[in-house]
Amino acid sequence: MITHRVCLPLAAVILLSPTLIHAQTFHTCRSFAENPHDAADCLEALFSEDPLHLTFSGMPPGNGFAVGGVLEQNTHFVSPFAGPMTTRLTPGTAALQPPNTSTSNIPSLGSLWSADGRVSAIVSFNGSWTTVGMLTIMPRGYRPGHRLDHNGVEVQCNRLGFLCTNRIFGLHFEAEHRSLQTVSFYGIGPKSPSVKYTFHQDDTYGSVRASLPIADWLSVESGLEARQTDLPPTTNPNSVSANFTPITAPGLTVQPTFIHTYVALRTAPVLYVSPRTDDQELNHTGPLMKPYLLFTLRNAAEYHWFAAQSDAPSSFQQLILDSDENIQVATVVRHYVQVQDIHGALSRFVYKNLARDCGDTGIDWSKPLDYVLKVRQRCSYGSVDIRSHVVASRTGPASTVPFYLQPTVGGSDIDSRLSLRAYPSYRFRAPDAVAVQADITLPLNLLVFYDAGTVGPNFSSLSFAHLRQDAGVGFGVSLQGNIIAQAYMAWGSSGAAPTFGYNFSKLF
Amino acid sequence: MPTQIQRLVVLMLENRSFDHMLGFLKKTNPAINGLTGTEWNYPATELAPNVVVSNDAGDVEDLDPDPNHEFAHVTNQVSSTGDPVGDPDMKGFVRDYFTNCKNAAHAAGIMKCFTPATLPILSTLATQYAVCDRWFSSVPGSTIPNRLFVHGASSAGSLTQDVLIAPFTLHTIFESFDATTPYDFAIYTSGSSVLMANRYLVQHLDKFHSYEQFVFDATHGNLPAYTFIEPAYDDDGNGLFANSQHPDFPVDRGEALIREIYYALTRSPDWKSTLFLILYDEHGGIFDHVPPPVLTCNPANAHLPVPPATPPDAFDFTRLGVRVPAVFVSPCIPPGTILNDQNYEHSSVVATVRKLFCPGSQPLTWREVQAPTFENVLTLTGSAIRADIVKLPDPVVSGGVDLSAAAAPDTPATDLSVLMAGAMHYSLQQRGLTPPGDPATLTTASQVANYLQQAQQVSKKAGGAA
Repeated sequence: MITHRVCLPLAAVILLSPTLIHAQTFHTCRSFAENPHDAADCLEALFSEDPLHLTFSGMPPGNGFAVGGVLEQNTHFVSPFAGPMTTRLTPGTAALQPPNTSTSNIPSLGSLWSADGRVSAIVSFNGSWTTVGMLTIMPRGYRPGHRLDHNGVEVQCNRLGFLCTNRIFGLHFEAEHRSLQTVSFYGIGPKSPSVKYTFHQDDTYGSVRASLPIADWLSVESGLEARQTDLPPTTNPNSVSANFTPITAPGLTVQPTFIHTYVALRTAPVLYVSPRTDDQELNHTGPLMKPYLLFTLRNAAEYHWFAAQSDAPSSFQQLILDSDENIQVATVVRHYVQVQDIHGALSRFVYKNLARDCGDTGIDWSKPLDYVLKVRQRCSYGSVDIRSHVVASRTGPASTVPFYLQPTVGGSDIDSRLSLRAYPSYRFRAPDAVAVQADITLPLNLLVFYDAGTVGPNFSSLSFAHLRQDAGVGFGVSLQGNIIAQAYMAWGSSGAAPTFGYNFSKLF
Repeated sequence: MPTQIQRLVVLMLENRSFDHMLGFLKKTNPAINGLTGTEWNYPATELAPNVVVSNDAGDVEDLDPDPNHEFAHVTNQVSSTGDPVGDPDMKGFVRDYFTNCKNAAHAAGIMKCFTPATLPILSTLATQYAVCDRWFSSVPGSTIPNRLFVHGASSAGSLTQDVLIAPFTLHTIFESFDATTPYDFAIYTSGSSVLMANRYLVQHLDKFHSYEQFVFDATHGNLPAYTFIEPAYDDDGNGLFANSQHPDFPVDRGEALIREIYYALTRSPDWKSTLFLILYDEHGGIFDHVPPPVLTCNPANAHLPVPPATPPDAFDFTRLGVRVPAVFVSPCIPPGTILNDQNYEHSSVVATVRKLFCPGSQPLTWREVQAPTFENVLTLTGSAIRADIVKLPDPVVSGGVDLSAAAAPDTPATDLSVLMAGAMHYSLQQRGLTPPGDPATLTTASQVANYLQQAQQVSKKAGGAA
């Protein structure tokens, strides 16, 4: 049901659109009645032009897709306390002086910038809706610098005191209200029956987050959030409120305001691995390939404090460990191969595929001297992605984690994070959870995957006995160049049937 | 016999004239055709004194607004009489900039030049290795046509930035790296390259790599025979700064880029057979004192035409643009080398690459055929090959430059990057693909960066299908 709370922001978006949408949108959209070819341009403009455009997005599982509007504005604020800075060379005196090797004469100013301001409102076809306002501010103070990288080469960086990084410090403010009409609930624990109940969840957040890069591979982050969740009663006979109690669904009747703080340590080293060789283009013998592996190792350790303001027994803490280890698999050719070097149908099949992976085209297989592989060509074979997500909650003696803040395993969770893809979204829920995944992405976005996971009332209960597993195949779907969905078939343990699933992120 | 170049690495930076960057090297080596300090231009207004070159370049505000450097403006810059063919006097730069900035004192800033003290890295490499003081931009015009010439010895008829079809249709030297040659090429970019809009290269997107990979590839012996490096044309608002040296971005970022590439190459197992060429696409409307030469197509080469510019310009590409810096770096080059035996231009890159790596292939245009090649700049052989690595100084932070301001994410997009987005847009449309929006609406650097990233992904996902 679309309430007045939904209609108001939507109406505002619609009413504002004609005044803010770019003139070109008007032009193409006005003329498309005369020229149907303009329809695509009109649609594209409506969904992409700044500062205001429409958007089409996936909502948390169970709430379908949403359309709405986005107002984006890059705004430049300068603090009134910022003073002028002039460190000018004196004309005519610079020539033949020794190079100035110091950059320390560049003072930091007190002014600030907002990097990105964004307000969006979307509403889905089941009446769920979200409004978000975001602002990112990056204080001034970085200077150009350089340092030795792991190859021993002096590389550029942005220097802030003793820090020398590629990325820079940022302050991120966010306010959001989210109203979800349907969130699934199967009870709590790893052995909950597969009977689906639903509830309506409204969340209101206000947060500030600070992120400081310590090195290119390491950053620290901290955040403060005020968070209010409401679970409005519904008339649905399969609702949680009609079938559960505060004992079986903690937090069902009272939802306190939480002050949520956290600290996080994030690592994201990018490592290339390839032996150092001096192969020359005219090498015709020796090893055919050397490995060229790109490791992107994203790991995070977060500790969260949720302090309930009006219902102290609901206070709890959480340790969250996330990892996403990605390995791009490639090789580099070390000796050339010509058509005349290839004998037999099998060999030709192999080299044709290699030539494709190495990016060579236009080979005339009837010409013995044509090069099939060239020295130093890079051949790409896809990637391996191993992810894990661990949540360990800690409560006081008489305290519990509200069920709506407990992690879930199965399908996608409320943040659209995939876990057990053969199971429905939110299938297993408890204060503690663990999920691991391995995805192998092959050329053409083909996907082979394995998932495992379980939940439990405490960390020691996360045993293999309750571990759920599945495996499947799928492919990525891209739109405007971004993989925005995965379609897959998954077969799970415990008799789960093959499942066709999808996971959408923002489309426009 | 000189050492054979087995690795050619070309870095093309943006919009600086030879005199502006390296003219005052003449004070350290009089053999360089640089500045004596007395070169002058007519003033912006009639009664004002002539404007003499000065050695105080550095403040980014000197070249804001961006000096004009389209064809008509270059004509006025090189010839105060408006006749560039007869005997250009190179005295119209100040007046032309005045038409843009409307401030006589500010217009004089077009005569400001760097010195070895304020541009220490490029100057050091130019003196420790080789500098060419007769390298001219290929077109008396703007960036896109000149950047097309370095790849195709032609601009596909483009004389202005706005001919979006040209990057798509241009035949480039990269097409000659076919199955008949054992050599390969790679293009390293910091997000944008006009080459990504080319109809041949969109089918070979695996040849494009991020600049972040370059240092690793260089130090591990993974660079192919020919490497072309694109600088970052815009700030991305998240720590990546423009280092193309395009006015009004500070030059020190580009200096740091040059140093980074130099050190990476010196750690390469191929260093002793590598030539690193630092080039600038065109002069950016900034003063230089050497008149650009006029070319004549040899009748024997008339069967390889350079597509003429379309009316109203109707230019036949028989006149070169203003002189730009060109510095050659290799351990096979003795210090203090000056290359000035012939008039080099961007087509010389195409001609040299073909000569070295694709000798069996056909030249693209008469400009390529007639362009001098530069492989003989490597003169040291055997035990004479240098083992030293030149210690490069730190870049000098430009005077008065608020460098951290460059990090502002709302930095307006440069015309060049918007044009690259436009070229990419056109290329996708020609291939029946849906571009990720209208490039005409892009106003900030981050928008352009996002657009190009999405466009490249569209292109990649389409598998390069034509």
